[in-house]
Amino acid sequence: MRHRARTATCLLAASVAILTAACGSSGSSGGSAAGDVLKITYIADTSGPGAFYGKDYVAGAKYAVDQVNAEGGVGGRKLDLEVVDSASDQQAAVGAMTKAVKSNSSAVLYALLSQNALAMAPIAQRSKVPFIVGQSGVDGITEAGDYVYRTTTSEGRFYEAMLSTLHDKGASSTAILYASDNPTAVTNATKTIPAIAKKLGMTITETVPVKTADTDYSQPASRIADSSPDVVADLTFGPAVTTSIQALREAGFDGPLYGTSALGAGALKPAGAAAKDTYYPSVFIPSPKLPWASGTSFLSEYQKATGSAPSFSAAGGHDQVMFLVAALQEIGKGDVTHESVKDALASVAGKGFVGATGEPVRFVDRAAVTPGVLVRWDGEAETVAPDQPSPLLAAYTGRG
Amino acid sequence: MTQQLVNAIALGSIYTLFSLGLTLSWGILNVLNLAHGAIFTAGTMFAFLLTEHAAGLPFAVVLAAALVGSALLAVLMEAVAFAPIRARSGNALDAEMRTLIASVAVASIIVTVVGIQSDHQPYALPQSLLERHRYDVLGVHVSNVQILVLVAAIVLSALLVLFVRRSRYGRAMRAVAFDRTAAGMVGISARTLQLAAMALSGALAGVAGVLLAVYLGAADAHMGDSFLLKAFAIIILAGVGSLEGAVFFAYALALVETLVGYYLGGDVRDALAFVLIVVILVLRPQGLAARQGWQRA
Repeated sequence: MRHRARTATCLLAASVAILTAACGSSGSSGGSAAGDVLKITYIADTSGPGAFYGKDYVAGAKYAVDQVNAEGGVGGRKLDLEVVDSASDQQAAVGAMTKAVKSNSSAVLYALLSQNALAMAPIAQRSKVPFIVGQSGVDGITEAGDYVYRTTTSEGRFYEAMLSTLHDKGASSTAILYASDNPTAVTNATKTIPAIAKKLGMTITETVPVKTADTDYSQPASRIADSSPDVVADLTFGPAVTTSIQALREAGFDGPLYGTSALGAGALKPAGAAAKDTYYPSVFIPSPKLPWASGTSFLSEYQKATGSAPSFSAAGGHDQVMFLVAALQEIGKGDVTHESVKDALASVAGKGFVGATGEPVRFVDRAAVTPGVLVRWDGEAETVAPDQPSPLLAAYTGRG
Repeated sequence: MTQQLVNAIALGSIYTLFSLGLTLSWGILNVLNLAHGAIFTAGTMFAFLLTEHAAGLPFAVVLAAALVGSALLAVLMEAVAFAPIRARSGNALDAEMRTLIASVAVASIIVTVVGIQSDHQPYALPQSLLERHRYDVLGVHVSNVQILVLVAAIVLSALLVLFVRRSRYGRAMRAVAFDRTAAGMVGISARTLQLAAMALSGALAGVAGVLLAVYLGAADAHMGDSFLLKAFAIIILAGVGSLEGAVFFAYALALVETLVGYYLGGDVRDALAFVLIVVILVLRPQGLAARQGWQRA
């Protein structure tokens, strides 16, 4: 009897533990529908695995809204930013989106995870509500339709320049460690990087999938180290970044690493010296050496206002809001409807707008194209990597 | 293959330290403590805060402080939540279920506090706390941290088994686990021993947390979640209360996971642990090494 009770307890415990691990929390704040206020709903992964970056996206968006409101708003109307936590969970994100499209928001903004954005974009398009996505670099989001935009350049576009730079430094082979539960990482690991490597004549020695929630990376790290690559792509996120890099070093791999902008925003700090010579492309880095003026002025103004340096995520959140603000400015004192916002966004996308991530931020097929910068972690801090093309993304100036 | 054995031994050592604490509280108090992973995480945060505010402390001092902090946290949890719930429950099954739910609530509070404290970002103990050294022996990479984790698991497991089997307090704990009322009639203070068991369980979780944070290079608020599930697998395989079984299956699970992870990939590694749980529950619900409960350990 006692064993049966324990077994039952055990099963219940396992279920509860799994549910606890799977669930996050959500909440909202603010929001009003007064005539002299333009409401914006910002759905962001501010808890769960994406919180590491999602919170910074929100911080950047709030900063932008505060700046705009401090200057009198748009067309005499103040902005009201309602933040909803999607908890890095697709169901929560879809639920928040379904609610947001029925609200009186002039547009819905979202950051961060690709799988969530992919599920949310069709809802926005069907409901004819302007939807501006940050990060979420996977294909298929803006393809949902003309109400959907992405203000972050897909990182895959930067990879050719990054791999070319590493190739020029003598790398002729690469291994890839990637988060198999992140669609962007899967695309980059299985399509983008192999295609670029082939073009450059680089060999891929191993491609190893891992899960973001894993804590022990010793086996994948051993497999990669055993294949003796010159460089390793680390396409993991959040806490996994430090753990996987540490495991690679422990397994005997001492060469350069490269990866996504997820390696930024302080993610390499806990890894410290172990992550020395890690490269990643980014749409923004808080460095006065950033090669576009609107980026360095955003850096100094953000620092002055908040007392801390903005991450690439904060720059991304800022630019989502500023893209919408540029559209609202086009509407001026006219009626702000979902359709008028959509038309104004199309007009701004055609011309580009001045953002923290580019001057201007350009658009191709409703997805942003920005210059980008190759970042190197020197063991203590992020620096603008030497000997890189400017802009990093050749397509930004029509060269690629 | 030899390298994978080294990796499995290091991982198994962490599983051992984590699982022993959990099986202790479950075996003696009948508390399936789902907050054990949160205490494990809290241990890393105690160490992190200490190194933030008192740089230059020796590793042993930081480890000891995390051990004490985690033990006190577990005692607090027992005194404030679990003991009153047990006292108000009508029977053992009710008590077990209610404390289970209470432990979920306590875990949530601890994880939230650690998350806020760390700004929901990974945090790392300073590298100067324990300089990492890698030794290449006949093509196999072994680090000083892996050796430390293994030694800690062996020493603490042996001490725990000796304590439970040979010491007067250990025998008293077994008596309380077997029959609390009868133990009270012969002068054993069940209340004191239950607090001691929770303290011991918490201390083991704290030590495991700090060692894991050093081993992995970083910690985060949710790091205990995945270990909690692994510990369930180990305890189910071993049978609740079997200390030697928990040690054996901690290393066995780590070995299987390591080999599967290396040869088949990380995608299927975790699923394997739970396939094993289901198979064991179907074929042998009392576990493979059960000896009728902790009280007969």
